[in-house]
Amino acid sequence: MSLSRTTRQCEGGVQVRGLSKRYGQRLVLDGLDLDVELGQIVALLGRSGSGKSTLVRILAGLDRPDASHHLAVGSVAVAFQEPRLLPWMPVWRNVALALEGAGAPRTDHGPRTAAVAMLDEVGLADRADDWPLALSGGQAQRVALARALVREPDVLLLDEPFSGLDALTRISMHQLVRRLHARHRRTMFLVTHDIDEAIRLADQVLVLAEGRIAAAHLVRHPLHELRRDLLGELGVTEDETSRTRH
Amino acid sequence: MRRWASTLAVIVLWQLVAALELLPPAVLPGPITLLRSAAAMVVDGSLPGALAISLARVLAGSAVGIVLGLLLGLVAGLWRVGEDLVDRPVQMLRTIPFTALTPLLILWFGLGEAPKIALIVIATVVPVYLNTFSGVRAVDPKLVEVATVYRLSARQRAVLVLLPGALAPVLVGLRYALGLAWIAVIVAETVNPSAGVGHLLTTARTYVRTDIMLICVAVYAALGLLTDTLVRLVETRLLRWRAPALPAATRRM
Ligand SMILES: Nc1ncnc2c1ncn2[C@@H]1O[C@H](COP(=O)(O)OP(=O)(O)O)[C@@H](O)[C@H]1O
Ligand SMILES: [Mg+2]
Repeated sequence: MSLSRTTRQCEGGVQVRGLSKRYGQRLVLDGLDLDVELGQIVALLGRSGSGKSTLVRILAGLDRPDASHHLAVGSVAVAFQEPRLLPWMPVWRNVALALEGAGAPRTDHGPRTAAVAMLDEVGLADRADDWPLALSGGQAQRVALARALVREPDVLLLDEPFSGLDALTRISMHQLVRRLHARHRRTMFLVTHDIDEAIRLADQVLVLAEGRIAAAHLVRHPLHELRRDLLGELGVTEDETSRTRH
Repeated sequence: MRRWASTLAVIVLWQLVAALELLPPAVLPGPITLLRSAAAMVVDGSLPGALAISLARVLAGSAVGIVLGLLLGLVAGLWRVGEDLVDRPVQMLRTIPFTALTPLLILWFGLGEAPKIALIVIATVVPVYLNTFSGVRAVDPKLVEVATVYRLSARQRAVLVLLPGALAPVLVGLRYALGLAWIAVIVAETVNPSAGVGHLLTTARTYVRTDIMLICVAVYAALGLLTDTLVRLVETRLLRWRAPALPAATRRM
């Protein structure tokens, strides 16, 4: 068992072999293998409770695996389902927080300049001095994205970051993520339970089931077929699909 | 104005009682007599002098007690080992009515400033500790995880995340502490008088100067009120992020 967290071994991507995690009697991750290539957006689909967040938390170093033969992850930043902004710091300080800890990138013109520049990229430079509680849900989530990006991580982990937002806000968040990816080329590992979100954003879509990566698709071939395949792999029957389409 | 009507009525009634000498002045001097005495005490410097000494004691004692309470609360809140080491002794200290310690402190520290300051330290350290400890423990673990993800140092985690997150309860503790600090200084200065408002009070009792005694009581009340107001001001300033003014036109994103 080796628990290495180095950039060299995987050159900034993610490489995991034989990862297991157990909560009580429940084996949530069962010898999982995972590869995320540098610069790609990889979406991870899985039903609720399938262990997606558990995987993200282990990749982020927030939880320890019970066993893993090999776990190599570059530097990470995380955007969670909730924005998790510190309400007692103005917006720009929240972004600059990612420039404070160990392994933070150097800034040329000080943390405030770097933070405001990144806020500008998510369209919120004018809210730099506001309190987080004055922001809407979508705005707060964009600040969380800016905080993660300003860290310049090898891998950006996104754990259902848009699931709490309304449909319109979600669409503009998708556009924002695509724009940011085109610009920064960060490796992104996007956890979602939304097939359409996965197809729209990712280069590759993985399916987590029974504690392992059960299927992997490149987003290439006809999308409606991919959609149908993914539904099947998530264990959603025709019956369930027609019921959800009123 | 209406809210002050009853207060005014009481004062007028009180002055009437005094003027008609329904009660002997040694028991209850009237408000006008009190004002005159107070003015005399200000002019001869006895009141400001005593006030300065008591205030200095409260400041010194509560400064030490508050810093100590914060540190102990952080240590116990941050580390299990810290909790094991710190919590039990402070919880035991909490159950002791601190006023009961006065004679012991005099025995240990003599008759000077030390026992008075020590009593104030003991009185203030407990509420600050209790509120810091529980406040730190109650900080949203999801926010603490953000500190972990961005690999903040222990100091950064404490200063940027845990203390601000615990600030509301810490300030409640601070208010309690300053209230208790005034009680502690009164007890210390009356049991072991050497200058200060408490000394003024005990001397006045010896000479049956009810007017001076009442003035001292009023001064204590005013000081308590003043510190409370100060902490409230600090509170609104430090916690203003809790109720930010929303932008006039709330945009969709
Ligand atoms: N800290 C924990 N303690 C106990 N069980 C947990 C814990 N975290 C997650 N689980 C369990 O592990 C399973 C996977 O959870 P999670 O990774 O959050 O799923 P997902 O994110 O895919 O919805 C669930 O059954 C959940 O109840
Ligand atoms: Mg989850």
